[in-house]
Formats: sequence, structure tokens, C-alpha cells
Amino acid sequence: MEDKKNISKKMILYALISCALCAMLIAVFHELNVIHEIRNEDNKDIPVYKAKYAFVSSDDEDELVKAVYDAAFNYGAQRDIYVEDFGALRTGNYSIEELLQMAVYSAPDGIILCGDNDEEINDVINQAVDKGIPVVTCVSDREQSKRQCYVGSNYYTMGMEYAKALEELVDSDDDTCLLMVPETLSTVSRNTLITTIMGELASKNRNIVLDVQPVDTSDNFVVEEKVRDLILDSNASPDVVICLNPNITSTMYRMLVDYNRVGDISVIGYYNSESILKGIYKKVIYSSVTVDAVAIGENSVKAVSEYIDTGFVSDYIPVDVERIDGDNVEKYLN
Amino acid sequence: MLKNILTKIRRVLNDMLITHKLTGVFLCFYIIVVLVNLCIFITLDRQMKDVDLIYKSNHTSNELKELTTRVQKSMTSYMESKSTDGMEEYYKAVYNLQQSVKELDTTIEGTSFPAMKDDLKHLSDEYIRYTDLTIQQKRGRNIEAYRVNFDKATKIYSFIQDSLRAFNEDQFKLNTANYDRFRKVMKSIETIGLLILGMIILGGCVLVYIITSRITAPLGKLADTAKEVSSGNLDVEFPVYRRSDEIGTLSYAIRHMLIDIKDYIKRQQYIMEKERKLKENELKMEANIKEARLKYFQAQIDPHFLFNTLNAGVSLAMLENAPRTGTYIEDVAEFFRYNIKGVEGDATLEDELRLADYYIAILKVRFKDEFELIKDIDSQQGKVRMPKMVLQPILENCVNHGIRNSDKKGRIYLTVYSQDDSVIVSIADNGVGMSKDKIDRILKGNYSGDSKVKDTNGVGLSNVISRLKLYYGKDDVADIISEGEDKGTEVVLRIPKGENV
Repeated sequence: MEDKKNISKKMILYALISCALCAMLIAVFHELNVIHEIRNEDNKDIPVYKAKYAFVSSDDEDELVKAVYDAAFNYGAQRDIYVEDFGALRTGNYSIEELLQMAVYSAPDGIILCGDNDEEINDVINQAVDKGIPVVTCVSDREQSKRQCYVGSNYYTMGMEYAKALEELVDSDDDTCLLMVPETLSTVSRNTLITTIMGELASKNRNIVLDVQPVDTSDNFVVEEKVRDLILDSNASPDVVICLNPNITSTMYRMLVDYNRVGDISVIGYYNSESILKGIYKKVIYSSVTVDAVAIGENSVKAVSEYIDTGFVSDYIPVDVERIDGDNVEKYLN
Repeated sequence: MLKNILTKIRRVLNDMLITHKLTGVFLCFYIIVVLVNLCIFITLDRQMKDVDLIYKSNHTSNELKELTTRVQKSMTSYMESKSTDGMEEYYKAVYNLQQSVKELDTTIEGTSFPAMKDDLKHLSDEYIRYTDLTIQQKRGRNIEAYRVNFDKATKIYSFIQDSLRAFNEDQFKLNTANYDRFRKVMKSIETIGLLILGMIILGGCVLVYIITSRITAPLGKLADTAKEVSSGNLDVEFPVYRRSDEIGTLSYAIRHMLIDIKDYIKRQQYIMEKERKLKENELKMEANIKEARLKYFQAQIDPHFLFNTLNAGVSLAMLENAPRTGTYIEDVAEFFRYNIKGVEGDATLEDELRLADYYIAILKVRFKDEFELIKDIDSQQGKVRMPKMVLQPILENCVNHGIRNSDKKGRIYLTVYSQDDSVIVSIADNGVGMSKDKIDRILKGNYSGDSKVKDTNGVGLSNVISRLKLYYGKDDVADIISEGEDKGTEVVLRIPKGENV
């Protein structure tokens, strides 16, 4: 009897010890798995690229530019091409010419020049092309330079869309209209746009006066100040404002709400960022003309690669322009 | 297959000496501890290499930053002083920068500025190209040109510095994430170390307990059994361990020792039993002697008076010229002289035969040739030792019970001869014989004698045989043969020759 008791006690003790050992062993394997996973995490996701394209833009904060870069980067990454945002994280206050110059010095396989820029940049573009680096411009073109290709909408089409929106919005030809354009928009592009709008309105027998105000879009504070001044000075406030930049459009929407001037000034914007779409949905922004940023980004990479591979590429790759208003905004919101 | 292997392993383990077993256990432990430490050491070493890698990129970018600064400073210094030392310093700095740039891994990979190293390589090359141009044009005093190139070089320098700063910042973020992972791994290694340590301690305790139990349990059983044995229980079943280690040897030795002890005790018991029987025999013999003596004393008369009377009778017979009477009285006197000495001690066969002669001579006078004694005696056997008063009672028995009741002339045959290791004394008569039952009772010592017969010296046949048995220590010393009524009786004594004088 005593022996049986001792044996059962011993068995319980052995079972407990075995359980403890098993638990410890499981814990060891768990910890080993943790180490293994961390190591795997370290080892994976290390992409290797076979080429680098420099992406140089006038304004990294611009939502359209951001969207174009993201599209270009993703498209390039799928093809082992690293699209380097050349201005990103470099805190120095570099002009787009300087950034492009540095990009040329860095000897990339290709350059994508995005956004508005000055005519002085043509020399640097030519320098790059002379060094055998293909340059593709997007969103805004430098047709006088030696760039290989332009990807984006043309300002004629955009002008037509803006003219249609104006015609719908403005009842009386006495209403004042203001065109807020980024300073960096080339004169040619600006003139093309204004001429198209005026021409289209004239063809419809509308005689609307269109004032033009350049805005320094490289600094958000400057944009905000300009817009605030425009809204608060009721004497100078136009009836309709056409914003040719996503930042100006967003700022205008925000300021109108903040200063309770919704309805006093009608806004025709540019691009389809989230805040702009929200503005359209809430009928603060009447309409917005937008381009397909993803198509621009992808086509830009495609154009550079095509030129590297074949030595030839189309001079202009068009991207569709669309107008968003209260009727179709839900499609974009979804 | 597996069972066979396990059995073999168990056998080998059982046959191992305890010293070897314990050494094996401790060696196993040492090896496990060393292996665990080795694994932890290797993992830590790997982690240290990872740490080195984490900071390698920072180290490279810092080096590049310092080298470009040196080039810039030395170039500026030369621009200001145009000294040979300044130029030497510049070329040294440029050389170092070129070497450092050459070692850069320009593979475009990773998530943090994958193309940064490639950018830096080309930017550095451009930078050096412009600084060289600046220096050359300074030496050539082409002020306009060197001013332009100096500005370009300075611009590139600023951009490189800015790039490196941005790169360092990003690397710092990345390294912070890496450091977090490193900490997690270190934490896991620490936990694993502690767990394995715990497992070794726990498993070790169990293993040591099991092994020591395997060693000490048989010893405990042996000790318990030995305690049982020491308390007197020799019939305890001693455990058997068929193994070649110390325990096996010990159990074998103790088991055999126990068997020897049992044997020894049995032998001792046998000897003691024998001694007890001998003692009992001695006591019985003493009792018989006492009985014989008692009966003798009952029958004896004053010997001095008897001898003096008998001697006077002999003298009278001589005076009256009666020699036969004188001889008769003399025989009677000799007979009683022998009897007076009693039944204690022993005598030779010769003495007994002589006494038999005296007795027969007396009886012959008394019974007037009613019987005759026919002797066939091997005189060589006369020295053999035997108890006293043996033959006379047998002869008396022949006369009183055999012949006197028979009608025919009695004959008594006294034969002594040697047979093997014994001297055979046969006393036979042609009397009435003896029944089987009586013979058995006499031989067993249960016969108390015939109370009707008074004419006896008091020592019966049964007493004689009993004394002979006790004297020689064996049962077949005497035998009585009778073939039936009127077929006579023969008493055969087998006296061992070893009892010679």
C-alpha cells in the first residue's frame, strides 16, 4: 500500500517535471522562432535595382507631384528600377535647377522632371541629354529644351475644360474672375491656357474679364497669405477663382470654410486630392479639372525605359483630362 | 530491432562500473553545458556582427563627410595661400577621398536611399573634377574660370554634405529600428539562455536522481536483506542482480555467503544432534549398568565369607581325598571371583570364554552330563574387547530356557571365528527354540524376562544385547536365530575387531 502511494507520488512528480520541461522546450522553440522571424524580416524586403532614375520636382509637397512620384516609384520598382526622389530629405534650399544639376552629376540612367519650372532649366536639361541621360518632363513641359518626351495633359485641353466650367458657373459677364497660377508655370503654358479659355468663352459670346495672379507655390505660408488676403478683402474678392494648383485649391477651400465665405466666392480647382473632392462634395468647390497622376508617373518611367532600350520615344504622351463636379464626385470619392 | 538495441544498451549500462557510470553522467552534463554556451556564444557573435553592420553605413558616411570637408578646406586653403603645403594637403585629401569612394558599394539596393552610395560616388567624382579644375586654374591664374569652378565645387560639396546628413538621419532611423530588432533578439537569446539553464538544472536533477536511484536502490535492497539476515532470518530471499558492476558482485558474494552460512548451520545442527544422541546413549548405558548392578547386588552375598567358605571346602575335599569335589569348589570360587568384579568396565573375549568354562563346569556337576558343550574357538580372536558378563548370561539362557525344558540331551555349541572386520561369537543350543515374537522383543530390549525362572545370576539376555549395542554403537551387534519350536536357538554376536586390546 505504502509502495503504491510512493510510486503514484513519484509518477506525479515525474509528470510535473516532464510538463515543466516540455513548457520550457516550447518556450525555447517560440523564442527561436521569434529570432528566426526577426532575421527573416531583416533579410527580406531588401530590393535590388538594376537602374536608377532621378525624379526631380519643383515642389515635393504638391499632392499631384507626390501622386506622380508614387506611381512612378511603384511602377519602376516592379521592373527593378529605382526611381529616386532627388529632392526628398535634402534639407538644403535648392532650386529645381540646382537639384537637376546635382541629379545630372549623380549620373542616373534617366531623369524625370516633374512640375512647374523656369526656362533657365533648359540648359541643365540640355546638359543632361548631352551627357547621354534621357530626360522626360511631366505635368509641365519644357518644349524648348532637348528633353526626350513630355508626359501630361496639354494646356489647350485644360483651358477648354476650365472655359466650360466658367461658362456654366458665371451668369453675368460683369462677374469678376481671377486665375491663380503658380509662379513656376511657364509663360508658354500660361499663355496657352489663358488664350484657350478666353477663346472658348468668346466663341460662346461670353465676355468675361479674367485677371491673372501668380502665386509662389513653393511656400505654403505664402499661398495661405495670398488666399487669406483675397478672401478677407471683400472689395477685392472676385466672384470666381480658378486655381491652377492643388495646393492653392485646397487652401482656398479651407479658408472659405474657416472665414465663412462659402457661396461668396465660387472656386474652380485643379486635381482630385481628398480635400478637393470633399470640397466639391460639399459644394464649396464648384468644379475641378484633374489629370491621371498614376498614368503620368507610369508613362514617365515607361518613356525613359523606352528611350534607353530603343533610343527613341514619342515626343508627347498625352494623359486624359477630366472635370469633376457635383455630378460625378462620388465616383472619385469611392 | 529497437528493443534489441535498448536491451543491449541497458545491459552495457548495467555492466558498467559505478565509477564509470557517474563519470559518464558528469561528462554528459559538462558536454551539454559547453554546447549550450557555445551556441549562445555563436549567436552573440552573430549579433555583434549585425551591430557592426548597423553602424557600418554611418561610419562610411561620416568618413566621406570628413574627407570631402578636408578636400574642401585644403582647396580653400590653397586658394587663399597658394602654398605648396596647401597643395600637398589637397592632393592627400583628394587621394584619401578617391580611395574611400572606390571602396563604396554602389549596388542599388535596400530601402533607405538605395542609390545614395552610387549618387555619392558620382557626385564625389564630379566634385574632385571641379576642385582639380579650380586648383589648376588657380595655378594658371585664370581668375574668372577658377571662380566659376570653385563655386560649382562648393555647390557640389554642399550638396554632398547635405546628402550625407540626410542619409545619416535616415540611417539613424533605420538603425533605431534595427536596434529595436537587435534588442528583441538579445532578449530572446537571454530568455533562451535562462530556459535552457532551467532545463539543464531540472533535467539534471531528474537524471541524477534516476541514475543515483538505479545505483543506490539495489544497494538499499541489499542492505534491507542483510538487516533481515542479521536479525536471524536466514530464509529471506536474497535479491539477484545479474550484472557485472560492483552491485552484481556484491549481491553474488553475499548470496553465496548466505548459502555457506546455511550449510554451516545445518552441519552444526547435525553434529549437535549426533552429540545429543551419543549423550543419550551414554545415559541409557549408564542406566543399564545401574540396573545390572542393582540386580547383581540383589543376588550377591558377602564375598569374603563365600571365598573363605569355598576355600575351606577345597581344603576339606583334599583332606578327604575328593579331588573332583575340590575342582568343583575351585571352579565355583573362580566363577564368583569374576562376578564379584561386577559388570562395570570391559573384558577380553578370552576372559569371557574362561568364565564360560567355569560356568559350564559348575553346571555339568549340577546337571550330571545332561548336556555337553562343544567348542570351536579361533584362539587368535581372544584379545578382542567386549563388555563383561556377556557370554555367561547367554549360556545360562541356553541351559535354563533351551535345554532344561527339552527331553533330548542338550548340546551347546560355542563357536568363535573371524569374519571380515568382526569376530563372530556363536552360542547355539538344540533346545526348545524361541518364538519370533520373543526374539523381536529381546532384540528391541522390551523383554523383561521370565519371572518363573529363579535359577539365574540376574543378568538377562535382553540386558546383554542392549549393553552390546550401546558399547559398540550399532544395532546389528547381536542376533538371535531360531527356526521354530524344538529347533534350538542361536545367539550370534558380531564383535568389531577394532575393539582389540
